[in-house]
Amino acid sequence: MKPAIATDVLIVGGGVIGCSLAYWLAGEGLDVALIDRHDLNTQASGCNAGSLHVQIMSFQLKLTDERSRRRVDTTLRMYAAGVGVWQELSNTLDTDIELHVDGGLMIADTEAQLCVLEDKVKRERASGLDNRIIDRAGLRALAPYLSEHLAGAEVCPLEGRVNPAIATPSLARGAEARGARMFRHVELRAIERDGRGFKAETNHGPIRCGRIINAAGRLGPEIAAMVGIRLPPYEGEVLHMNVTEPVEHFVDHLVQHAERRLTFKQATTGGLLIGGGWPAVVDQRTGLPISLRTSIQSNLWIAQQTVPRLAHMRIVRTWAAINALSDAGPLLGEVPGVPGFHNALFADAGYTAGPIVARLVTEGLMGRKPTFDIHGLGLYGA
Amino acid sequence: MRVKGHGINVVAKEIDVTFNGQVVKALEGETVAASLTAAGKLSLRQTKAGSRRGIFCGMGVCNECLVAINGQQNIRACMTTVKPGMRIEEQTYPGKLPGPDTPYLAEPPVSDPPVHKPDVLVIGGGPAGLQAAKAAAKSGCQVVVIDERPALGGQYFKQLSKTHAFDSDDSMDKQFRAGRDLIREVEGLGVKIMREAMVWGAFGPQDIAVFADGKSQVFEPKQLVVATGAYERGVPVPGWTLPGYMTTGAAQTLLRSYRVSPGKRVILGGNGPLNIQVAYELTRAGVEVVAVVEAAPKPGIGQAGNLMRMAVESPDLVRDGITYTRTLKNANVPILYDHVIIEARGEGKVETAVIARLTPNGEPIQGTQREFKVDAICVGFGFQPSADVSRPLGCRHHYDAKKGTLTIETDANCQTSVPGVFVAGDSGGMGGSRAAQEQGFIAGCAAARGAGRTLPSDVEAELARRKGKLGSHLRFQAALWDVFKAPRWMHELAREDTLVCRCEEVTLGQINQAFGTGIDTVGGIKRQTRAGMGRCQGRYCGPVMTHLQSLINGQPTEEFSFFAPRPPIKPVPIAALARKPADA
Ligand SMILES: Cc1cc2nc3c(=O)[nH]c(=O)nc-3n(C[C@H](O)[C@H](O)[C@H](O)COP(=O)(O)OP(=O)(O)OC[C@H]3O[C@@H](n4cnc5c(N)ncnc54)[C@H](O)[C@@H]3O)c2cc1C
Ligand code: FES
Repeated sequence: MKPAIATDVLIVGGGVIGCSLAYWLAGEGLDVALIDRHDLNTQASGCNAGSLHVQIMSFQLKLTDERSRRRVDTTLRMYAAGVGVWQELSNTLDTDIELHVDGGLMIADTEAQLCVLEDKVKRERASGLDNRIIDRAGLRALAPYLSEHLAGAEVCPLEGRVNPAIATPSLARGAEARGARMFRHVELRAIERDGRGFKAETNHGPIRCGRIINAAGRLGPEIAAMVGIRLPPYEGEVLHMNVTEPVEHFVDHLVQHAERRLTFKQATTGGLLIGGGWPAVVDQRTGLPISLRTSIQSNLWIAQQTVPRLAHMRIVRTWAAINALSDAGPLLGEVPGVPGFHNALFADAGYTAGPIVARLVTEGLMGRKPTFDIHGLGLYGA
Repeated sequence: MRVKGHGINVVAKEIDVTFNGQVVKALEGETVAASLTAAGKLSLRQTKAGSRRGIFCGMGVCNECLVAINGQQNIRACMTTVKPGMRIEEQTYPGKLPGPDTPYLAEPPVSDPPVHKPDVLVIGGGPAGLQAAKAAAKSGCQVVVIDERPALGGQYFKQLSKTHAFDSDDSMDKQFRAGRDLIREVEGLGVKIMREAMVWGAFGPQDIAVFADGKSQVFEPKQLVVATGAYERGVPVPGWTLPGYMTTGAAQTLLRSYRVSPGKRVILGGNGPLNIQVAYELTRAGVEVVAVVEAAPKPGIGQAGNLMRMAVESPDLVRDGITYTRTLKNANVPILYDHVIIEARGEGKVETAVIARLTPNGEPIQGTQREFKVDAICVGFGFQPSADVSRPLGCRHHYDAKKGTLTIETDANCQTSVPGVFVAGDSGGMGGSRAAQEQGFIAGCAAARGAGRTLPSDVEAELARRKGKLGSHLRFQAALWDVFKAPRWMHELAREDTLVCRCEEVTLGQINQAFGTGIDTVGGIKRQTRAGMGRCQGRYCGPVMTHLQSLINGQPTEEFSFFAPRPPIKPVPIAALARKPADA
């Protein structure tokens, strides 16, 4: 598709962050064009599990240095705000994005694990979250579908799920309806200064633009390098997910394990999505992410230990995709020294945070006071 | 309905089972699909949208024949043998949550499941797989053959089920006999045969995961022969999801293996000789066949050259063809050339087939519609090689635009681009059962060599003979398909409201609309509409959507245009897979 020759704002990347940016910036009345080297929503945003993660994850507890702790605590608040933005969007977008905020459980096998969760709850409550611990009996009452052996759980009321296959396209449609132009299969290859703006070289010719927003996800550092900015590289983590056959609704929560690699929830279709960070690999010849047998089998073993009823069910699909990991924290806003170039990059549970990230960057670009206290978030200029 | 006669007698015990609470008489050992079809129960499951489905592929691929049995959900009726007292119910959507007395689908393994390390693993027990096993075993290899079906033989050599017996060998047609002899020969060679064993994942040439005997087992063969066959192309037409609309292959399995007719009044349609053969078999069995609807033009004088060629390469097959058409003619069953079944109609099951005459470029001509009252429609539009195992192994494929299929690349020894992996028979591209057998033997020999064996002289001699004959079979096939040359439909016969993805119930209109929003890849359409996410893994809708994609984005279809291959190859019980991680 031939891209526009000129635009005020050029968004690079058609994932959840890029599409949300297009949606809001076009809503501000700006002239917006978005490009993606693939179709829209094909990378992490189209392939993630749609869990709305808020609480501190178990692996993050192991990050004890002061900088990491601060980052974890602030992104925690950002996730919480992110869920709020998703709730707003679900009322304004043109389709049912299958948003459910019915709470998340972090389950513990043992009393020792539960003690760790108790400390975690204190830390989360200090950040304003209403999380709490429930014991064995409380867990049985709340989630009778879980195995009786569990010692208890932490409840995080703000967690839930959304359907990324529906939500991102809905944002993209909304953006287009507001006048944003979306160009698929247009790859940014170089950026040159052009007066006060930029000339963006693509495989379909140059695009002149006043401002550029880097929402290229895992490839964000490559885009930043085009204006001479060195960002810490993202690590690509190839992850694996399992999908069961659909059954009557019986799981209300987003469930994850305090110590083991397990996350699951029941999607609107009735299938359970089971993951938890098991590794996959990329095939050398085809370049496609492929699942490992041991990951499938181990993931399902832990799942079945947790939900005995899974022994009545089959797995019908799996997929593998690459997520971006970084310990640099969110990179948001106009880059000092490169006026007009903005980053909108967020690793880890970026689908949860996508819309709030886009909102903050939008507010920065519009020169408005952020709706969310961004202190310590690494927002440039903050 | 059950058919009788022809020197074939029931030998199985009659047993009682129930379907939705009603008693159904079954023959012990037949498939649930056969029992229910015999009893006229065609509607087996409900969809999410509330419509009904029944047997479609008859070979375990489509997942349309799902029923609940004794509380267990989503069981494929066509792959499950019936047992006394079974409580069979229509499958609801979504599946029910079974109560505490319902047995698990599999018991989690108490110890580490076995790892098998044969010299040669053959996946698929049809003509190609059996010949491969024979060649490798005769060359001194330790061979395992696995097949998902309850009996060996695959599509072409499928045998009469144990529920029936022939009066004498004379009542057996030569297709039965050749299959029986080959199966016996392979069994006699000490080949280990695992029936009802399903490959659920191909993680590497030495990491083949098989669900058998209620557990997941791993094969680490020295050499691998993939002979997984093919399945019928899905050509969406209005009403193609109605119970009673099934593939010709499904009808043939019911008839040949279980002596059950899909209906009392049957119409067959599509393209190619199989429809004519099955029409003949149904007619001989006393079933009323109202017509065979063939998309190709009637072979005229212009086909004389091809017919000659066929007569030279395989005179016996040409004779069979003449017998089929003559029998149909004597029974007043018309073969309507230049026609296609454009629609199936009925309330909850097939009641009417609508056909139309075709223009030379394959468009149904307005005003030529005719309706037939039938209770079954059997359709075959040719086949898709099954790339279930070869694709996840990363073997190189290419798109064959002429046939409209993704085709594996192999050398003269059936060796793929991945060392130690061979593909033979229909899964390597359609060449008929004879070519499949020669390729199977060739692959078996190459695998034996790969496993370090020297071929004995008699195997060498047979190999040379079979390599010589392969060319002849392929020439026969080329001439045959030139005679049956017909338009290759993808979506063209579908209306906007016709389902393209049967599993997730996505219509052509919805797919077109999604393409209209600017999405231009099948992956994007899949995420947006769910088309291709269902239990059949996009086997039927995938090729149609890939074709639409190339029309939309103007890019030629190639190896990576299709849905990415993902485990499990077919749905598999979680309990069988669950495996304690090393660190737990
Ligand atoms: C398997 C998996 C499970 C996950 N589960 C969850 C979850 O449950 N909950 C959650 O909150 N998060 C989850 N995540 C993380 C989340 O999906 C991501 O953090 C988030 O989607 C990132 O959005 P993005 O827009 O930054 O990136 P992406 O979605 O990757 O979008 C970036 C886009 O930029 C384009 N692009 C890159 N370079 C160029 C170029 N040079 N020119 C043009 N275009 C370019 C890419 O093609 C891509 O479309 C998961 C991730 C994975 C992989
Ligand atoms: S009819 Fe049983 S799976 Fe297709």
